[in-house]
Amino acid sequence: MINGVRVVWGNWQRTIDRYAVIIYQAINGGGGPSPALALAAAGGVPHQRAATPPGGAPPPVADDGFLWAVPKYRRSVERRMMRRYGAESWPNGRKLIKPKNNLIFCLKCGSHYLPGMLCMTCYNRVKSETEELQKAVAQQQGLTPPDREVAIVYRGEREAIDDQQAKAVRLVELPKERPRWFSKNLMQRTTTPVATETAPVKPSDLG
Amino acid sequence: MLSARILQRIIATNATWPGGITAAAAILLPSRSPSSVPELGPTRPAGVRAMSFLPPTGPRRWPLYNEQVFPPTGADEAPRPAFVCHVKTNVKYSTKKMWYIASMIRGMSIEEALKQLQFVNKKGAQIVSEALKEAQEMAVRDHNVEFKNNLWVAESFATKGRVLKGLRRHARARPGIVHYRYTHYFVRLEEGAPPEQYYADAPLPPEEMLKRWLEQRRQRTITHSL
Repeated sequence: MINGVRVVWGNWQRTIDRYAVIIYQAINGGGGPSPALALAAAGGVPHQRAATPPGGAPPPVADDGFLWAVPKYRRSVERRMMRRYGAESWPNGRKLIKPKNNLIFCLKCGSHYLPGMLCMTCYNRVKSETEELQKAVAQQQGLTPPDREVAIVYRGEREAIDDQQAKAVRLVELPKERPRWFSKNLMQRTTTPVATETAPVKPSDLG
Repeated sequence: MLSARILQRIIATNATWPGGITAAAAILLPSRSPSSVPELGPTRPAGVRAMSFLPPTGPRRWPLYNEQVFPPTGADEAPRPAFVCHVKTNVKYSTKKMWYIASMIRGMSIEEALKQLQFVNKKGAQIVSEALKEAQEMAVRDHNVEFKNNLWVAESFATKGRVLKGLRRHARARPGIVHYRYTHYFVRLEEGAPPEQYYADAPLPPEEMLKRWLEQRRQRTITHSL
């Protein structure tokens, strides 16, 4: 049965090769490419027309642009190679893929990333965690309208929140541990004490 | 596939390969001699004729280079570096497009190659990355490579696989043939640090170029002089 399928596929491939030429011939009435072997195998062109019809050459069909745009000359191998692979000294520049020498090393995860962009591994890690949190919140929320702030709590952090606080927010408990990179302290602006006395400092070296 | 006689002649005359492989040449040529590679059996089982509708066999010789057995190197000879040949057959990609990616990583260390391929926005980059990782695993597991990052890309090239054809319709009921192209990707990893220059015709540093130019100018003579 598998051999039968293979025969059908092989026949299909051969049919395509053969009849593409015949379709061209049929539409253009004898014009277009005509490899003799393919036609001989197929049994000839269905519509044969004389090279010069009796009433003279037929007027050219205005809307048939089949042979309008054709290459006038063969592309030399030098031009072909220059177009495909380029050359550093030419205006086109190299077509080869150049290795990048401006990749930055992420200090947190150790992978490389492009300057001006985020480290993709860190970003994807944060993204997947965020999606998990969003799913958990949506599951708990359901179809009720949001009326309170959402507080996401990981495993072992529920005890830190007292019951009065817990009633004021919508608590979403996650059974997993807090990831190491996800700080609890995102809302505090700074940990260093803010300077209360601010006096102008004169530069001592300028004189 | 060159015969052993031709290989010896090339080594004797110090001719360079097309494309000029330098560091790889000394290791590549002896190991490519036909006598050390296992015999390639028949393409199909006996009695089965080759027909276009049978599935393509694909390249078979490349993985056999892994099964070569070399004589032990002498005490005064340099140690033969370990290598692994790997091929990914019938990948759905065009050979012309794969060439750019395969040629970019030639001569790079495997770490550098994997790093650079991450930032190449092409489908072939993914394919080549997978092939390199598979080859790396094979090298450590089967070919006595101690450190998996102590490898460099000695050879990297792609060849044409089976091309399947389909029909499509163009404007004005004109037919068109669609080519569904497949490619085989070959890679050879060698143990050790990569060479400074992979190609023999790489540009020299400016000091070297100046020195050569001066030498050439000094070698000039006046013909028919005393």
